Amino acid sequence: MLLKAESLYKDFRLRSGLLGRSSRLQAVKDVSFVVPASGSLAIVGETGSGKTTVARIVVGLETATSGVVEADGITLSPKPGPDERRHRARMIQMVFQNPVMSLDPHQSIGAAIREVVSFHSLRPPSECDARVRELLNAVGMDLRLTASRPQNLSGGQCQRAAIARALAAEPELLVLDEPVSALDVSTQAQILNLLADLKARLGLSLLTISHDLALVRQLADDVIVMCKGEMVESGSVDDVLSRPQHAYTRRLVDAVPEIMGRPTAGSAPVSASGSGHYEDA
Amino acid sequence: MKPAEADPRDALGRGGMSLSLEDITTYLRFGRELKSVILRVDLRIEPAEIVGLVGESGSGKSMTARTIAGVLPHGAVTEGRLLLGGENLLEMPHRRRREVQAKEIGFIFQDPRAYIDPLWRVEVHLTEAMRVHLGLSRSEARGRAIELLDSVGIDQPERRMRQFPDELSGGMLQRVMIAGALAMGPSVLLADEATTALDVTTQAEIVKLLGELSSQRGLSVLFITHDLALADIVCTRVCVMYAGRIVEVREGRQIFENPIHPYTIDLLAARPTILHRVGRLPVIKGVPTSAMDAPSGCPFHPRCRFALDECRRATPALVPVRGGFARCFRAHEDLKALSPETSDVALSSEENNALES
Amino acid sequence: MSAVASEMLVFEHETMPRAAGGRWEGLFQNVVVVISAVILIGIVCCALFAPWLVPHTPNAIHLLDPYTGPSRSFPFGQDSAGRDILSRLIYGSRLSLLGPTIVVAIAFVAGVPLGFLAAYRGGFTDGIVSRLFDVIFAFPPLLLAVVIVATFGASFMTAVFAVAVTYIPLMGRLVRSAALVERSKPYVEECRLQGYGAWRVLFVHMMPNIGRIIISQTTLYFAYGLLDLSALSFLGLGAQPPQIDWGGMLENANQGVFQSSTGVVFPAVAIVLLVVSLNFIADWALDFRSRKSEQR
Repeated sequence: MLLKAESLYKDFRLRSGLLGRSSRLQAVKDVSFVVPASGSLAIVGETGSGKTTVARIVVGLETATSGVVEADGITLSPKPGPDERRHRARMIQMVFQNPVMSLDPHQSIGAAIREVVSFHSLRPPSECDARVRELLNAVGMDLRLTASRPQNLSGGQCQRAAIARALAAEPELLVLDEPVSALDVSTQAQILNLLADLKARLGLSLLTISHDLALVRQLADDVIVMCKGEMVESGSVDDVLSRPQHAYTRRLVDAVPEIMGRPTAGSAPVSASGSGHYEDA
Repeated sequence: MKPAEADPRDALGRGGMSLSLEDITTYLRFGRELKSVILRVDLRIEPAEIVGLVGESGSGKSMTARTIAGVLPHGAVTEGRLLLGGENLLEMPHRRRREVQAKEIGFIFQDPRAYIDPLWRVEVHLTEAMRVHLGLSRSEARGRAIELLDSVGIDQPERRMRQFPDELSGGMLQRVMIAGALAMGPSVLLADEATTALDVTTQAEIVKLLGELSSQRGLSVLFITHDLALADIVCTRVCVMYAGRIVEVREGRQIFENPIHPYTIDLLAARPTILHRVGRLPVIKGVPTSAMDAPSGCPFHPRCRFALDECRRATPALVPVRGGFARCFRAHEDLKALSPETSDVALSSEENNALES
Repeated sequence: MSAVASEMLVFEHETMPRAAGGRWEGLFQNVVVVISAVILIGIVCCALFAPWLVPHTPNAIHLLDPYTGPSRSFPFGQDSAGRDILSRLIYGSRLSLLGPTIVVAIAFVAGVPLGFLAAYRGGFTDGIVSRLFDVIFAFPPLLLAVVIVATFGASFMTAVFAVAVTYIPLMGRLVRSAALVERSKPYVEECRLQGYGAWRVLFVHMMPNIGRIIISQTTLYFAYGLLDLSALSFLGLGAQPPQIDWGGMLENANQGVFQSSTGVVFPAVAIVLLVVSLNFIADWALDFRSRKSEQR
């Protein structure tokens, strides 16, 4: 499925002060991109860049102020009702940042996955359990954990379960919102491998939201860089990360510890130098 | 912009003290049992040094900081010697110990919004401790607070004092927290994942700031993080912790290029890098364990690519190796060169299944 | 979490292991809860088996011996009309248990759906429901109850209804807050994403997670409902004779308190025991469920 976003704008109304003077926050300004079928696009930015808002618009959890999201040329409804959501869920699914919180604490992971399968009527009731087992296998999850609740599982296991649940709807695009930031380094590698694997095996497209440039290099083919709601640079991952054009992108790349340490390899720690005051946003 | 100058008054006349942990073991109480969370930790931080403590879940890095600060849960027990400027904190009478810890040890945590009361203006956060512990008057405390904000690189400090925490960005608030930590003129600064929740550009600035503060004020800084690359560039020395023990110690800038311990080697290899894509990230099988759940022998052996029989039976000691220390029987071999850094072998889902404990 | 707030990452690598308190703490808590449960069961048995437990007919008057202290045939003494206090105490447990039960039931049936509605729909609906709650909240509860009873005449059911009205916004507000918290959690967003209808989201997903709080609070409302009802009875605005409840017994004993304090002491103790036991049980229930869900 080809996902296209065109000229997305999103304004938030903020109330401040005692009398509720409202001001407008432009979280997303004129963002356009394409995720090709079986492709992998990353949206990169810092806090307040609007990248998460864009993801939520694509998925239907947020309504764009203007702009269009199309799947295979068909416009997706900006304010979807339950039926439209159900239809969209068969095409686009999301994996959230906090694995444990994205699962119902009261449901076993098996039940959560089964609910998705039966809700979308993807299997007759007698075959639902088998399908759940299939999905758990696909994400490399021990079947003995089917009856476990999210609180009793590790972060990595929860994220696998969340991915299995997302796959249960048989989507064509997976939106990943900081999929591994809450996990240990060793678990991150497992999940990243899994995602790359699933993409290759199932032909999924991936839309990854992240602030982690190393993750983006590993997982994505193309990337767009957002700053304060605007797209400042876009292109292939290789071009943008190895030869950044825009000043902001260069700042981002330069601030990555690996890059920070490079020019003066073997010298004193970078923290020992520097001076002056900083005015951050 | 005025460059940050060392203000002799800020050091409160002290030249900075060294912090030394000798054979420190901390136990937590679970019902009637005591279980260790850090085991026989030896650590020394000199003034103007930044020592990094790197580890994952259960490694004990946060527990080490809490042990130093004395904020452990009810019923916890610490053994060993905890020396600050030569005095053993663990042998001090409780009251004096609390006093010393309040005045000499500053903390910075990961999420400034969780630690700074959103209900009060920044001014209150900064001046409260000074007025209580140092007995400063309101205007004295205010003046000092403004100086502090200035020294951590916040512009328009008078204006910022009157603002509420939610009016400041994450980076700003973290600077405020650092200012708060410095308010009492401590000799030691504990930074527990202080930059983890920050944007990478802000992280770079905060890290530079910590470096400046450390060298100008003679602070001994303990920099705790899960990010080896960050520790590598920030710290003069890096200690890697696993299952409550220190498993490797290297001088700064060495740990990234020449790791010795299998855990460090694999940890570095498992990270994605911005420089290029890897066919398949090499995975450390299993999950990180804490001291309580560690197996006998070397705590890492079930997950170790280079494990020998010996590793199951005995626990290696921390031995000096190639300019650093490592807790491994095979430390003298060049393990990094033994296996390829990246592996393109795809794992089947059954294998994946078996990996997660 | 708003979209902007969710961009701030909080890295939870090492959470502090839960070190339990010393062994005496756990024991104390358990003993107290057990005693509370015993008391509660005891009172319920009184209510159920009253006819067989009472030594005398509760309404049998002995006008020659008003406000008499404890004696052999009247172990708890006699009230203003010489009636046996012990028997009245036992019989009184019926209305004293029934009353709060109905209060809680009404508050639940009216408050929970309203609270959910306000939380889930938000916006205008939330505005209306919350304002409705605010209006009721604006009145001091007992005063409001008194006004209602005064309008409709004093009786057990009027008192119950009056108190129930004041508890509806309490329950409603509680459910609304809890539901709002749940609604912002990722798993509920995920449900919306899938296209689950409102009913499914509310009952399959949100309710079980809020249930613990609701149950614990309901127990407390029972206890406070009893206090409120007893207060109304004490003012003479609750159950009327020949119906018996503990509040009414207090009103009766008020006059003769200097002659015989038993009339005041025993009903008061009964109320306090029931309220305190319920509090401990509510506390334990809250902890129990949360400990259970945190077990690895």
